[in-house]
Amino acid sequence: MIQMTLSHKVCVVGAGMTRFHHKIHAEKQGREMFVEAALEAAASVDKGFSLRDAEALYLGYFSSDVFERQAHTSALMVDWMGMGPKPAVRVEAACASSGVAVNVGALAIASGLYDVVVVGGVEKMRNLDTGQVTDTLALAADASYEAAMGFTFPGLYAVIADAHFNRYGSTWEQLASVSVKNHVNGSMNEKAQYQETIMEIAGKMGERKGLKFRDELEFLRSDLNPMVASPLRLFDCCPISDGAAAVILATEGVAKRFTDTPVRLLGLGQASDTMALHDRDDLTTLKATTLASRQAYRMAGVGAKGVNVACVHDCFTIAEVVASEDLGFFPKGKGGEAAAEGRTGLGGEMPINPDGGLKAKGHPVGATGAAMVVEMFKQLRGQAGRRQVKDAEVGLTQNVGAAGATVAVQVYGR
Amino acid sequence: MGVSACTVDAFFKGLLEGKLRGCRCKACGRLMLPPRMVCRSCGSADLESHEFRGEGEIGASTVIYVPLTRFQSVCPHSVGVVRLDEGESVSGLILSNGEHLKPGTRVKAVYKKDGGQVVLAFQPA
Repeated sequence: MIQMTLSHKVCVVGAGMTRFHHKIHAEKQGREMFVEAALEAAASVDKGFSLRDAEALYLGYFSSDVFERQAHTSALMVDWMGMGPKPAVRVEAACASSGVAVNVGALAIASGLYDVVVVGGVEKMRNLDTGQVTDTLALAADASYEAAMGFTFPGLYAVIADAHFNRYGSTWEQLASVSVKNHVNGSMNEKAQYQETIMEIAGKMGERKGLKFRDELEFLRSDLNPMVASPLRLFDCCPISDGAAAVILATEGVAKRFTDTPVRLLGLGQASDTMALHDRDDLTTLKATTLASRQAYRMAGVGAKGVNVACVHDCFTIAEVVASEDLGFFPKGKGGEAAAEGRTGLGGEMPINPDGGLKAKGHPVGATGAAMVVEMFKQLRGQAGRRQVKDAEVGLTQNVGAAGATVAVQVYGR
Repeated sequence: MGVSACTVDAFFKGLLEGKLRGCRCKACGRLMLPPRMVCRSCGSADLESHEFRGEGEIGASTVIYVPLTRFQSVCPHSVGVVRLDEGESVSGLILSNGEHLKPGTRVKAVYKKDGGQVVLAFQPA
């Protein structure tokens, strides 16, 4: 039985990240990106913070072993951060690595063992070409029973989309509206990989080919947006990115030493589903999202209706639609419609991914869950600039590993 | 059933013989494919080998245009989740000449050798 309360309350007192990008970090290793993010997190602490003040490090890194030929990255980072001899733990849960690391770090504080810890994640993906990255990401699925039959990672979500279309009559045009919205949001985020709207991108790409597009859909239906795994095209998929993110967690008691306006962790949850998609009775839902969010809502004493802003795991457009249903924001089968109607936009009733989401902000796998917390730290303190969700008091993060075999959810408040 | 019958290796050796080998829980009767060591329904470890017929329908599928390096020579190719008539499901390559087969399309298992490796594949029945 999951406890409804944590013994010690947990706050976020600082948060930082590198820009997520496919080119600008080419000269750096994961260690340099992570230290950069951690130093920014320390600098964001209102009353000052040295990384040496932290008592432990929890690091999400999916596949340093393959991407960088470097293992034992927890010890590497804590050393490079000047935090030695403090203990360091690497958490690997595919794309949910740092979302789970946040939970583990929060539980370490809740246990009473530590007052302050650093939690974060990093991924250096661009050392490999797209084919090698595709192979590496497929390791997060069941390598023997899914990838061995030809399933790529986009292929798994394409199957979820096929099932969702078939069951609920949702459409690719609805998915496209998720991509359009996330690019609009990303255009207001200086840390995003893509800071252009889809029409701006269409204009540039079209110019090179001598083509003009009337609207987003005309561009997205064109050959400039090739199929990756039907019905998912390139702009339904998040990009390959390098980047890092870090947050500083503290007990409520010591948080005031660091800031007068901490962000409170109100609830957390985590669940697992079958490793292989084929072992699930219902392909249109990620059961682990539903279970993890129920735990987090219960602990927070907040329901889906009480959430003002959410960062969800839109590794593919269909994933955002499914998440918006599984988290209880919209009825099952209605997530696509809600997105197409603009209800998840910045001015909508349930703003999702104000930071541009994985689609526009980028998705350095191990950094994504922590980067969602960075956005919540800004949104709930009213520091999100042009993409600020008005009166945001309660925020939710949902970080998914692979096709939902791991899901971590947190609910934050002011 | 000993460990030797429920390994990934045994599953792929079965495919080489044209057999779809899963297992059945002796405690609750639950069928499982691929074979496991612990029953998904009741947690029993008392399982026996069970051969599936390899007939069923597409649960959902996709056509892959950006393939794994190993599948580059057959791209675009389809993969999907196949709901077998026994009630269990499995992932497989779908031999449809790059065409998308709708959920509900009847398929049957064929066993496609790819160099030294074997792939579970399905074709329209």
